[in-house]
Amino acid sequence: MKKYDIIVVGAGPAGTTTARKAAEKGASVLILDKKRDIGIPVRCAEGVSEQSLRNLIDVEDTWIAQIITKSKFVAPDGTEIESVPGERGLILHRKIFDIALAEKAVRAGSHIITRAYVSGVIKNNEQVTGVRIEKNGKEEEIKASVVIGADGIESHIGRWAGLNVINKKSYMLPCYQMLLSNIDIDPECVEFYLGEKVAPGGYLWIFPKGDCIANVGLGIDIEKAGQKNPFTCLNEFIKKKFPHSACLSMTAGGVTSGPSPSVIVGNGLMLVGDAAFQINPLTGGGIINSMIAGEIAGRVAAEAVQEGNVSAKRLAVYQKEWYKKEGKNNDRSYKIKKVVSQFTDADFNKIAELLLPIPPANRSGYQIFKKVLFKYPHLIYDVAKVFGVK
Amino acid sequence: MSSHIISINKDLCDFCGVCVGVCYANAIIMKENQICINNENCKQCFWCADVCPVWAIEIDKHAYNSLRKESGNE
Repeated sequence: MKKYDIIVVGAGPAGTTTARKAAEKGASVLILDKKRDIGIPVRCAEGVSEQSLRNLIDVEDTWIAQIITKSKFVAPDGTEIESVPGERGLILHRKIFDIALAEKAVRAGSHIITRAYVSGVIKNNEQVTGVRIEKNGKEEEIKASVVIGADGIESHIGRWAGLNVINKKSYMLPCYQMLLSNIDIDPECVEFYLGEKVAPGGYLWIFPKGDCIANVGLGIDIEKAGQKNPFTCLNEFIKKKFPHSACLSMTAGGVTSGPSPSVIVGNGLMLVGDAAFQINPLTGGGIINSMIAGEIAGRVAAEAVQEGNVSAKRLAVYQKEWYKKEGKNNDRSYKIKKVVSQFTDADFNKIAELLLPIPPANRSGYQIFKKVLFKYPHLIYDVAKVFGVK
Repeated sequence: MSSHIISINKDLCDFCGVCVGVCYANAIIMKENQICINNENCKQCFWCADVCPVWAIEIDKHAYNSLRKESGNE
């Protein structure tokens, strides 16, 4: 029977980053993905902060669909708040990016098997000792000292191992996105539309991928959506705003937005990325957090294997480090999100009115959210921390 | 024996996995291009139907009402 130090389930940014770091530390690593193609499809708006990505990896131009220099919030009454914050964003070609990350994991020494569906984990008493896979119609068991679940929002690795990490209905925001071409946009500007009609309890995004093409999508809170689902909301918006657009790709998906789970490790087990609820609860962004967590997870897992101690207590070092590095910010973001997702159209319109007098160059994330939360002064500290203001 | 209460409309399903994510009964199995609901594990909470972005999950109301009547009679 095959045996590895570490098996990583899922070849997205969380899984391949974890694998790469573990392999760099000398661990034997196998990555498994049920899909035929890495990076296709992804259910993702593909937007990241440029600096955050450059802090993690050498960025290649081929990964970048579009550089973003401006953002625009649109209130329900149509008031537009543009900002030129000075920090750039990138909209990525995830199908190229994911393959590049997988390549790096392989060059570091990881093995990879695609089209391999993980059907269960193997346990010895309370210790996870491997996985069961289905490949080409055959079942096979593969052993490992540590199994790492980087298997996305549908994740089962944690549950099969006995962790209580179900995504509650109230923490799940269903989303729909289309790649729209033949649209009239400012390619350097990301747009966010707010309001009960356009995206109840969430927001609609326009993330340009070129001069006349963009990821246009939205996420909603089902408690507030009434008789609409994200697909119908998006179609309504597109009919009005981009009536001559052509849809080149469409995907359904979901993001989690909730408090950090209390436990994301077990005996011989770790969860990373969307599988560990690490998506930013306010923005819905997961790529950067997945890679930050993956770096910590890969290192800790490899060290634990080398020490011969893969107990939950030893692996919990990863969870603590993750929480200190970014998890705590996620919880602050969730406090902010809970408040913002209750806003009425009147609230958003009022905030836009308050922001108008501020010059666009001064409309940083921090300044914007200070106004957004003007009725909640007790959250100013959280806002400052989330936006890295001292 | 359980009746066929919940089913997934394969013409609408995008295999996004959101339903799988919220199913605490582990009643939905999704592989690369296949998905099915194990009606025996299913606890009829209907969270899956609520979160589906394209409303691809259909509930057979007659079957659900029959099941509730059966449990009431036990």
